[in-house]
Amino acid sequence: MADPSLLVLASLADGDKHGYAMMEDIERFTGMRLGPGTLYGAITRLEERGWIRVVGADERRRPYRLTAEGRRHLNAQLSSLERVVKTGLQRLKPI
Amino acid sequence: MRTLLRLVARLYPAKWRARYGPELDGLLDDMTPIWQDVLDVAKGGLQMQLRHSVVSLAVLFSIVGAGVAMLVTLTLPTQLIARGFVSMQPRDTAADPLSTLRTTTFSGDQLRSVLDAHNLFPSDGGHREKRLRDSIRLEPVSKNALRVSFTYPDARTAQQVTWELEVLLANTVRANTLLTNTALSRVIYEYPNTPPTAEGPHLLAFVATGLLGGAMLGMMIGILWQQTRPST
Repeated sequence: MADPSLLVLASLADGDKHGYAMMEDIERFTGMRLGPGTLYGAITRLEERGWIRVVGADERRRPYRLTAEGRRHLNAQLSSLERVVKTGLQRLKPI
Repeated sequence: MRTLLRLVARLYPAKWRARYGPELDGLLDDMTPIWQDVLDVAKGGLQMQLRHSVVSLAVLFSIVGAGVAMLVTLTLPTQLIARGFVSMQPRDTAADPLSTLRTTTFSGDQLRSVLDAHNLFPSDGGHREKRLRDSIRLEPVSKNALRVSFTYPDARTAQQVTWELEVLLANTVRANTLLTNTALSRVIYEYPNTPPTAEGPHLLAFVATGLLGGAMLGMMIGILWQQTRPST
């Protein structure tokens, strides 16, 4: 249900990670396994938008870092989600 | 499984593989692949093709379009066209015996008699009469002469039907001239030729249409995909 791009941004929020590390991290905090095609589709889109960038030179295990703009975008998305979650939970409470 | 995944990863555009290929390879080495990953990578490859290359998508669709058009031409019946002409000389040189034929066509009864006599277009059911009308061409070649053409997959039938149409035409004109007191001095029929070679379906025209249609469809899908792709 969650957007893979948002999951990648959230995974990079606490530090640089390469593809496999992101995949494991996302599985740990969501219980959902991203396939390699889905993961690299999200990485491609995020890098094109300048929300993540490559750090390090190992081309087989290239780590990515959240950019300042990516951090702002993630913050905005999570705040919006938080409002939705809060509202939904409040409305679910018995009257 | 890894070998299969690497093979499927070739679906990604070359430009994308040059940039992300080694990383994807590294990921495939580190992870434990499952069967769903094959579909996931194939889907990712197709999506990247759509995002990265409207032109290559247009090329792909145009090739498919041309192939489909070629197959369609193989399923269509050949078109053999028999041609003859009827010339009518009026006694009064000022008369115009073909004038009525320019505004009238064969009657339904006339066409049905031809259809039944030759069992034409048996697979067209209730549309046989329309099919017959569409297969007939009448072209004036001079003030008093009319070329009659009929298109059919069988050469002998095309020739015979064209001949019958010529006679029907001449009879119609004769009836008309009697009514208007404009007698004909003579009617000259040219017996229709036996169509030598098929004149259709035109393979090149079909393939060109398939190429062009495919290219346009491919570009439209590519552009629509780019406009509707996820924003994050």
